[in-house]
Amino acid sequence: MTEEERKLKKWKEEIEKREVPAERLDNAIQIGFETAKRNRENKKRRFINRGLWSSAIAAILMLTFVTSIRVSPAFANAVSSIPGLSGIVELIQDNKGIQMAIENEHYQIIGTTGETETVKVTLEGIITDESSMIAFSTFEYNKKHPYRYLTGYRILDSNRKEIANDHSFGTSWNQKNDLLLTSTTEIRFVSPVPTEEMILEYRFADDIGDDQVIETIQIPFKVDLKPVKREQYAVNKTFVVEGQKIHIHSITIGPIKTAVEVEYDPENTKKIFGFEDLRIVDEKGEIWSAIKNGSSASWSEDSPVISYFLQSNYFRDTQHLYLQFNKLMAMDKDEAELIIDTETQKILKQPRDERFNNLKITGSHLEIELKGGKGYYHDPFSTFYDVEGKALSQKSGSFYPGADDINYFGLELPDVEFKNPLNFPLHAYPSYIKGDVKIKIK
Amino acid sequence: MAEQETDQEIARRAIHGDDEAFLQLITLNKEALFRTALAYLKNEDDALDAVQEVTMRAFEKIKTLRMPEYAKTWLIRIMMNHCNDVLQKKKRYVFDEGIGELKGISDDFTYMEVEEALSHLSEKDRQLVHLKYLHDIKIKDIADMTSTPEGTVKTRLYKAVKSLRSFFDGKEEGQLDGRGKKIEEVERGN
Repeated sequence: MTEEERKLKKWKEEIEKREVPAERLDNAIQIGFETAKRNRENKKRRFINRGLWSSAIAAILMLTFVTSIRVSPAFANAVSSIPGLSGIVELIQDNKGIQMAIENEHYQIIGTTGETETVKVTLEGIITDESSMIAFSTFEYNKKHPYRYLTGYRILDSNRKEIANDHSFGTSWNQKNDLLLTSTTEIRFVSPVPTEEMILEYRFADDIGDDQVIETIQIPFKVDLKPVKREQYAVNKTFVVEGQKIHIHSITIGPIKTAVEVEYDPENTKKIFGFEDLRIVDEKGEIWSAIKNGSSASWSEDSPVISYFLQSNYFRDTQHLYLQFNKLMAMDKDEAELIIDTETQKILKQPRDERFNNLKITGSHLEIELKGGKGYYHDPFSTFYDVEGKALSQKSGSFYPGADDINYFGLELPDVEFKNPLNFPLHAYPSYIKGDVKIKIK
Repeated sequence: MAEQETDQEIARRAIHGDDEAFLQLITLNKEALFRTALAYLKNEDDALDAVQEVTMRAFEKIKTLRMPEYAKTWLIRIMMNHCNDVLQKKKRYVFDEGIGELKGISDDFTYMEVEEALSHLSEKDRQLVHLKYLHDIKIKDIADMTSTPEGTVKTRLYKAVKSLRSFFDGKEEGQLDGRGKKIEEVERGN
């Protein structure tokens, strides 16, 4: 044994000589274990339920990230004077536009409660623009009963007939009390927001991803908010970023959000997934960026035009406004697919930098890892196709971020027959193009 | 041998999402985890915090463990990485608080001397020394676990141990930073 090894041996003996505080050690393990289990449960709840999206409209991302609450003093003040709103603050803390609407009293308090044996729901309040509405609700579960999962909303007229709309919603569990839940839903009407009495119906199911509605609560309300007019700016210009053409059609600013209509040139060699930093900047340099909690874009299958949503600056007086962007998520069109075989559980084709890994299939549940970059939280999957071109859609999907930038995506394969391999056209991937575009809109 | 198979079986079940098996796996390795943390962080409270944190991290990442036979090494590596993170963060606030707390461990300076020498190794080499000399993990296993050729691991370990010698001999005194000089002060103080 060398001198070094002798010393290392002695070093080891010293470490092993130290007493292990058995009880405290077991305790530390137990706490770590329990916390991790709880975190996993919370992550499971961050489900994206695809069944909700109508076929025409989908959203790129609809996730609620609960972080510490940061709001302006003016907003905090406005909130403290409005009943029921404090629980909702965390849902809109990243949305200056909604906060300003509330500060400017473009918020209608409703405060009506409906109840079943399992859950009590309060429709706290609403915000509207010309043709859409955001409803804020709080939920209180009864411990004695199993959870009911909110699977969606319906909006009915006073004769209980459904009013045509598209809606998306986000929920957030209270961190301290898991019987409390807050939710916002954005309802887009096909026509202007009705001014007659309406009913908001909350629909509950037994389990996440389960479309079987077993319970509903209906709350009547009427919109009293002053009608507001959206401001529309035509742009009609084409910009080139790394050889890719991007047409900006128009910008519409309303109290709920700003919509930017964009079209990607079909001749582009890259598939553009979206903007990373699309923003509106005023003459003082104040920035209104993308909506983080809520739907961030919408498009229709029969039009190439996509509407991207930004936080609204409707209630802010500004001299000049600019639309700016520097970074888009994009990749070569021929690379933008993932091909897998569910029998062999093998990835047959994926983008060249091979960020997909560890494909696992258990029964109808598919799980795959994607190494993203910092802040990459996009779901790359949507409709997929079997080898004969049959379109398939997942029953439900889940997502949770892990350590080392690994994102775990899970999806439930549909109960229909299909033939391997399966082709998943990608709808997001950590690959980017960069440029510098600034458009004066006002 | 039979016992080893049981450990592997527990690890395998844990990887497949069996929570109870996971808890068993951590419990089986709790002493190794605690002692690793103690060696790095020097005090019991921090070491216990680290065990708690690593239990959480391991739970989240267990699915990524491909070789159940190396579960122990895997856990120790997570611990070492975590401890290293903790130390890096601490460094920003406190220059070096370690030396004082070491008193009472031993009347012999070997422990302190080895620790001091280890602190001058790269994190990678330090982990290697820990795995081999504290946890008696075979070079072949380390090689498999880190997907490194066995020869490379051997060479690196040999070099790491050799560079420890130069610290023991004080040959590189000229290269020591403030922390190196502290040792002299402690020694004089005693």
